[in-house]
Amino acid sequence: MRYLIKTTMALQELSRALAPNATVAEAGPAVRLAAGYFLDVDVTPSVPNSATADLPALLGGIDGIDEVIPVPDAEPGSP
Amino acid sequence: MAPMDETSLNFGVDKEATAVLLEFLPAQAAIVPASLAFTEERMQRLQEKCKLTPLRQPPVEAKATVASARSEKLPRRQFLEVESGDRRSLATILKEIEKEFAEEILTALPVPPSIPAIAPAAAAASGPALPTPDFHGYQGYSGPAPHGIGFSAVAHLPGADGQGVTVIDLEGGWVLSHEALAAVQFNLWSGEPSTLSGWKEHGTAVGSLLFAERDGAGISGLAAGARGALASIYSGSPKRQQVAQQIDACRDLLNAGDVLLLEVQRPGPATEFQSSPQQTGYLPTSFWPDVKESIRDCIAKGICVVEVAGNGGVDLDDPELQGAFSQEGSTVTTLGPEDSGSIMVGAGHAPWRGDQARSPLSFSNYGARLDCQGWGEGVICAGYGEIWGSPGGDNSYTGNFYGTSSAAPMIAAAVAVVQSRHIHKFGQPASPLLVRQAFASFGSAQPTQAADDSGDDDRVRHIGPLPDLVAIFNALNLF
Repeated sequence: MRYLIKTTMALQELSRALAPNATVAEAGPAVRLAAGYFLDVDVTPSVPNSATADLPALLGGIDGIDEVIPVPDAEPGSP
Repeated sequence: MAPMDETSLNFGVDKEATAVLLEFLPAQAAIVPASLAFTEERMQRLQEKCKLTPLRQPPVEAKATVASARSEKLPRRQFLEVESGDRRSLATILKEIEKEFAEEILTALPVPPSIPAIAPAAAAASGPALPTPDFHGYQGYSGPAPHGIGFSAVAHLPGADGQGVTVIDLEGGWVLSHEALAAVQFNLWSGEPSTLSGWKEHGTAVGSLLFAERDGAGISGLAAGARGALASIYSGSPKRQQVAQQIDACRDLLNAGDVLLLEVQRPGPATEFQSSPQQTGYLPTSFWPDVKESIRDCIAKGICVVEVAGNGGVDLDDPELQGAFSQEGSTVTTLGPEDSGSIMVGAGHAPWRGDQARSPLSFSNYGARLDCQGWGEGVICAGYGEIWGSPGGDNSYTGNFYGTSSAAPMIAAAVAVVQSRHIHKFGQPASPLLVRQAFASFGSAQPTQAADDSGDDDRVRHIGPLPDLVAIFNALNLF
């Protein structure tokens, strides 16, 4: 899942914090917004459907992360 | 030809087209009583449903008229006008007719002005493509208020066609070779197009509403005088969505007075950000802070951003959204901290819905944040191939483009018209926030009364008025 993560951590730090439960990769360039600094990342659980695959819980438990916003794929505005 | 927003419609009957059964938009559909088995009793029954009038002489080999058909049979080929005897929509009438006369009715062929009825799919399958009919008569959204936005009422004014303004359609993909996009000046100005058919049909529909040439074939783009451009939300290698970054790229390409149309939405927290076929819970992308900030940067540069409100049926004032769409602190000259500054467009019922016209469609997001509405159903435009051509083709057309996606291009085009006229008259564009205020204030109001005292009625959901360019031009001293 892709996330905007408000944090003071660098990508490498986040990667270390998530190991071994999940891996992280850059989805887009990090952005500095009025609301803070955000990493734009893909987070993938190491073992899907396991107890450690609950990414919001996983990310929420890491010190240094202030906000986690899922970024689903955009779709056309016609149902 | 009677426009789509009235209760009459011309149609043709062609028994030779029986191999084609098209699912037209009900309001644009027509019956084809091609069977020779129509009895007097059945014909009378049909005529109780609607008024039928011959439009022209039948072919030599079938001189029967509707009147004679009462006592004999329907002719082999007959052109008729269907007219509702009351205010019921054609869709309702045609559904009734289709159901009751299933044995006699074979197919339906709308007759655009000045051409004979021809089966689109049959045409596509046989040799060279036939010339596309002129569907302009069905573009009721361009007509005068209260049914339309009033493009036709200001078109005579110098500059009031988008001239000198650039409009970008930012979304996923297009059928770039489509005839309705031939006038686009900047194909893929930024980004890489999606190859998914859903995106391509969608983009073609939107692009045609904005940019299609006024050449007597297909539809006429509402901002045909503007410089048209397409930009994709996809970029990079591997290719993936970069919505905020692509808005930034568009901002760099555009100038004050130009228009950026944002035609994308995303699943929101109501569905735990998971996609769903019905798009329940979908939100405008300005919910996400990076997109919002990119839009704000456009506004700061003087670029008007028109954004779909989304089809999630969501109240954007819901506290669960934590004020993401709050306009607190915004004025006509300043932006509050949570306000993207975009013109947010909801989907309203089309005029043929009677007293439901301009009330929100059930799927449209709503709330104080919405500025205005456009037609959210039954929009005729390029793409999809439901009434002409075939899906993915270069001459495909639909009569049922819908959603906030069909609503927003109308508004983007209207904004381009306002800005081009403003530049022509005053030498500079109006500020995006002033334009937004005008579009939210001057138009045909949505119905606000609930059908009963319960308050449980879609009509009480705020999406804003259907803008009226005449009223806006008056307000901004553009006449």
